[in-house]
Amino acid sequence: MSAGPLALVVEDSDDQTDLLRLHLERAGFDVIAAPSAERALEICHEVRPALAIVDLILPGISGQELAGVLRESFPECLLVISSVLHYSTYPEADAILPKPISGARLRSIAKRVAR
Amino acid sequence: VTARALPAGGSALARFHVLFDGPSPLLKQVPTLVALGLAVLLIVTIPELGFTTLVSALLGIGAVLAASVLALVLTVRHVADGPVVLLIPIVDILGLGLFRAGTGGPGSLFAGLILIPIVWLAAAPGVRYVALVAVLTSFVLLLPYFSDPPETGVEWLRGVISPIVFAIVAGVVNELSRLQRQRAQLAERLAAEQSIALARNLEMVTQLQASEHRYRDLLGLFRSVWDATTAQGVIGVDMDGLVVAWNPGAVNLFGVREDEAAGRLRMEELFPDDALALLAQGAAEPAAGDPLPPGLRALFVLADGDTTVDRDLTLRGGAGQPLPVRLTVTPRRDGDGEQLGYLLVVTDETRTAEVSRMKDEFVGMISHELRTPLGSILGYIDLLLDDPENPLSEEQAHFLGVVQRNAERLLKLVGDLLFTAQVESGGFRLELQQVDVVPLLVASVESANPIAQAAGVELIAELPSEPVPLSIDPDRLGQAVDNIVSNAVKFTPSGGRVALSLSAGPAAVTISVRDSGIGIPKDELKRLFTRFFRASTATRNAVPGIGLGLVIARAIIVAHGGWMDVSSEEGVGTEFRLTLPLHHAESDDPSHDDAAD
Repeated sequence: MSAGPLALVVEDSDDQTDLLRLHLERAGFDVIAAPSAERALEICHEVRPALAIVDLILPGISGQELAGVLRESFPECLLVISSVLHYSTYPEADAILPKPISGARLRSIAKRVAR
Repeated sequence: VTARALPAGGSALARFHVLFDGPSPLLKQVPTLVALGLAVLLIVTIPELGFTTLVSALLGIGAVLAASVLALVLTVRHVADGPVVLLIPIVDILGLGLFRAGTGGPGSLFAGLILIPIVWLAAAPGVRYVALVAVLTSFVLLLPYFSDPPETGVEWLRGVISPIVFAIVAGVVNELSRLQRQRAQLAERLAAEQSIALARNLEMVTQLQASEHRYRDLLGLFRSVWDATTAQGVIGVDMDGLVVAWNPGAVNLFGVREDEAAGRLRMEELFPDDALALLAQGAAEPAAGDPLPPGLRALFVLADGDTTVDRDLTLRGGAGQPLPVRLTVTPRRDGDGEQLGYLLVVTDETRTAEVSRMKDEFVGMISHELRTPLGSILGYIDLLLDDPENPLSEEQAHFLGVVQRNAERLLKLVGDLLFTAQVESGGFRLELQQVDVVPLLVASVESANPIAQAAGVELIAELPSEPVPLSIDPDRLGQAVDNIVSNAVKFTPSGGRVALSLSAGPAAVTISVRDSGIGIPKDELKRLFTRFFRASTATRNAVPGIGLGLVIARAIIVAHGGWMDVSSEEGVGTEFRLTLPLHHAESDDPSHDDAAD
């Protein structure tokens, strides 16, 4: 059933991962989840996701650092930052999705991914 | 005279007095008495002598004895001077004159006895006694002639020549004793003056000892306080910043011994360049040849102006490490108020900085831990409400709406607390953009409208039709305006009105929020921008809130380089004015605003 574009969710909270997965699947994405930045980087090298939603507070390598690497190495991937932190502290990205997330906002971001 | 008032040292003077006050009348009378006794003894033992006129001789002896009794009485009564005392030699002279008359008259052996009382009388002060002696002696020497007048004028001469001789002797004695008295008085005065001077010296020495004792006590106290001050560096410098005093606290803080610092170390050596540069900001041009860097001179000039100079700085610690301190500077003066230099008190703030950092971390951690579950709650509520495939019943949607509203309130509270903590530690930044401020205000009114309508409060926006572009952080400014507007709605009873207006001046834009609400008591206006402060009108009317909204709003306005003020009348209404300058350098000094007044 891998018909849709691939979305990567980098998030250490299972509840948030599930929520994002649900929204993204409703929006027609295939979703891969990574609980850490390290795992996310491995996945990115194997499969090229079209969309990456990155939490900033992660165990190990931080979300900020991961965002920098993704921006550098995978410029075609739409980078979305999602965090409880204030958005003024977000690293440079294509879109932001401050927590608590709204389904409407996520759908409008998802529309930007080329099909 | 004054000798009695003297303390120790007066005894010498007392002895002096005994010597010069002279012998008692009795003592003076003794020679006359003894001489007369010897004369009587001679007459009795030598038959050739004998009395010529016994009555006269006995009268003379009686007179001398009477004078002696008077002398005894006067001595017992301590009368040493005066006319009464002089009565004794006068009576003696008369008595001895009678005795001479009774023992042979002009031929008597004992005419010379008269000299003894004459000397006494003549020694009394005053020339008149010389005259008295002349008169008396001529009277007593002529006494025998009254009963038995002589035949020849030569005999009469005896009554003239002898008194003249006696008067001359009296004159000499009188003059000598006058000189003697003068000398005695002088010596006495000198002695008295000396004793007074001595007493004064003694008194002065006692006073000196007392004040020396006090000084020692004070010095001891000062020394112990100085040595006990180990947590604070206390540094005395001269007018040009050379260290002259260096306490144990300074030794601890800067790792420099007192003997290495005093007279050698210069104040600026403790200040890293960036600290000096920070202090020099806005300082006047330094005078040419000033050995002190402009930053420190600026600090000293402030202290001269009797301003409390109190700065948070990072100095260089003993191991070269950065040392966060609080520095106060005051003028240092001597006992006469003459300025000698400055006194610097350096308080180590390392622990405070550490505590503050830990607090920030804690607040950050807590707010993250609180926000993560709230984020999930709200995310899933959103998911439930926004699922076209599984629509909720109207009742379910209503219930979930209540849950959502409360979770959002909780989230806002957490955000406010975190933001307040960030403001306190100066750790929040503005994302400035050049944007039109009007739509931002419209959005604030729109978001507050549902609550205003529910509360029966009319909410009006009086905004210009043309755009008002400003360099602001739209999100933060929106938050500030939201806080003020929602406050105004909260504090306005049903039927009242809240008006949001904007006026653009040449240099600043003022956003005003005016309500017809319950107002704020005048004495509480000053505390309005204090964290967790709630006006008594708010608590009395049970208006919900925790007292952070205004603190946050002001912090945001101040960060924009603007200021906020308020006027209010209880029962009439309140107006908050948020003033934003059109051009500003981003201010990072939150103390630089005018609060409510």
